[in-house]
Amino acid sequence: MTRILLLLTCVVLTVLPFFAGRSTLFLGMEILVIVALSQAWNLAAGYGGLLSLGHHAFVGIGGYALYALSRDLGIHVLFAVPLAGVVTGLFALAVTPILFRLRAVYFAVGMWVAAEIVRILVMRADWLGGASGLPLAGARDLPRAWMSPAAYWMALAVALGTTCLVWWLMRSEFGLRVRALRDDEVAARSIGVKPHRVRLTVFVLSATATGMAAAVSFFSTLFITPLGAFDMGWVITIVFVTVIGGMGRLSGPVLGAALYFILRESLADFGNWYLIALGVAAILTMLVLPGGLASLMDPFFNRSKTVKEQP
Amino acid sequence: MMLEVRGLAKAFGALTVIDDVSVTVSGGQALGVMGPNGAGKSTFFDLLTGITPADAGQVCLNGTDLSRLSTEARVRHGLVRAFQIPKPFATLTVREHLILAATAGAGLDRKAALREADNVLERTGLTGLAAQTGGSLRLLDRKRLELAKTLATRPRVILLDEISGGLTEGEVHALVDLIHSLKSPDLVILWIEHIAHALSATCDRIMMLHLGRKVIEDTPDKVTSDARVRELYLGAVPHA
Ligand SMILES: Nc1ncnc2c1ncn2[C@@H]1O[C@H](COP(=O)(O)OP(=O)(O)OP(=O)(O)O)[C@@H](O)[C@H]1O
Ligand SMILES: [Mg+2]
Repeated sequence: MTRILLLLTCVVLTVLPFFAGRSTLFLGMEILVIVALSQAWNLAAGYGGLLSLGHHAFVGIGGYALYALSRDLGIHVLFAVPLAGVVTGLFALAVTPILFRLRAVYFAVGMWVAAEIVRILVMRADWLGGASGLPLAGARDLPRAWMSPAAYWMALAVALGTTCLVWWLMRSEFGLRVRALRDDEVAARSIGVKPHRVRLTVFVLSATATGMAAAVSFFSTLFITPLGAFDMGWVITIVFVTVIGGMGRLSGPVLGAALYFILRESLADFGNWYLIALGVAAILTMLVLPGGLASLMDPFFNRSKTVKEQP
Repeated sequence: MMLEVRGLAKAFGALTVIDDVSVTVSGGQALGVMGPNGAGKSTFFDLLTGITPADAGQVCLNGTDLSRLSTEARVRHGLVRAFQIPKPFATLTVREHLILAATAGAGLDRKAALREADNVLERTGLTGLAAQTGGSLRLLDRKRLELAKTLATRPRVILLDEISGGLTEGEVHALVDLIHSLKSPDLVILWIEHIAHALSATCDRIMMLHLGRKVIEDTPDKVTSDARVRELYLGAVPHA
């Protein structure tokens, strides 16, 4: 039953561009990007225990990678999007020797500092347009009419892909390692789990997905600036969505994103009040529903993501 | 199989907890470890597995020096311990604990790990609890799971830290039988326990620790009849 519903949802989401107008598509794209970003953050923070407050570094790098790859290497935007994810993942890999020395709160702050440093470096890089930013050179790669459906479909692909990745990872043997480490690191190491390797994998995958989702988002804007790309607002939104929805749960980012956009759209006429509403919603959820909105669904779903019992 | 420990030492600040302890145990043998509360028994295991770094000394398995390896790397060499205070994974089912131990610890592939998990469930009497999460287990089952986890890693040296606590007389007998059945030339067993008769029934030798020092290491008969041991155990006031 749930399977049929999920399949139906996917089909509806896929054919939406044939029915929906441009503004609906744009909103849909935004929602899907936030779902993808939150799934990616949830993978690192909710499952992997890597509480990053610097994921906007990956957003910015993914975005800028798309612009640089399509301008300097002439790569078609449709291929530049996944490549932007790869670039972001490689960046994440490169910073782990330093950042993985930090734990818990120190890691969170370290990530934030890293994001600030990257933003400042990008603002000073003339080949990336400095503080004033860049236009998307690859915009010509696609006919005008296909721009917003393409952005929407890419967002859908990244959101579904990231969700499936997390789902698949967590029911694999690797997922057992991730969950064991989160539950008790000493116990996990004592039966042979290598914490560094597990965290590295989770972190790089999270960064890759984040970079891809960001590339999609900045593909649709046709212009990128350091202030927009490395805006701390990204990580704040992602954290809110994931915490409200439910950390370490697959449905968390989806439910959180739903609530976020309902609040944002219904309070759109009241300026930034939706941010306050969101803050209140977050605090209320943490008080009343520590497991997030996803824990409301527990009675309806068997949420144990266990390894299959028989081979 | 041969475990050689040479000159192991550890101090926490001014407090020396393990003081120049050396011992050799070969495959097929079980070494009992006794000592009053706070003698340093658990810390001795912490140093063997490397979860606490030693100040000095060596841990060698079959001539390979493990002293500089991480805990998880030592597990790959077969050195595994069961914790005195059980450490189950709250969100993993009992079966998943064993699958993880078999893949991460023994390096088995998925199929072999599933078989190994079921095998260990059977041997440790946990089959009925296979689908329960670690967080939902009673203390006694947590202790059983602690032992089961170590077995699923296909150990070559198994360090058991007071796994019989809270068991009834009959259950202690069953445990003694289980440990007897584990004995093989490919396995070294070290077992910390306060129950002298359980150790005497399974161990080839018993080592007595007091204030971090090895007081005596001999056959169970000799150790249990030793005057110093009797004095320490009668005079010992549990404080931990
Ligand atoms: N991390 C630590 N820091 C400081 N002191 C410690 C630490 N760990 C253990 N100790 C001390 O080392 C001594 C030995 O502790 P240990 O747990 O090894 O004793 P034990 O022989 O296992 O006792 P029990 O029979 O109660 O389990 C105790 O005095 C304890 O307080
Ligand atoms: Mg102890």
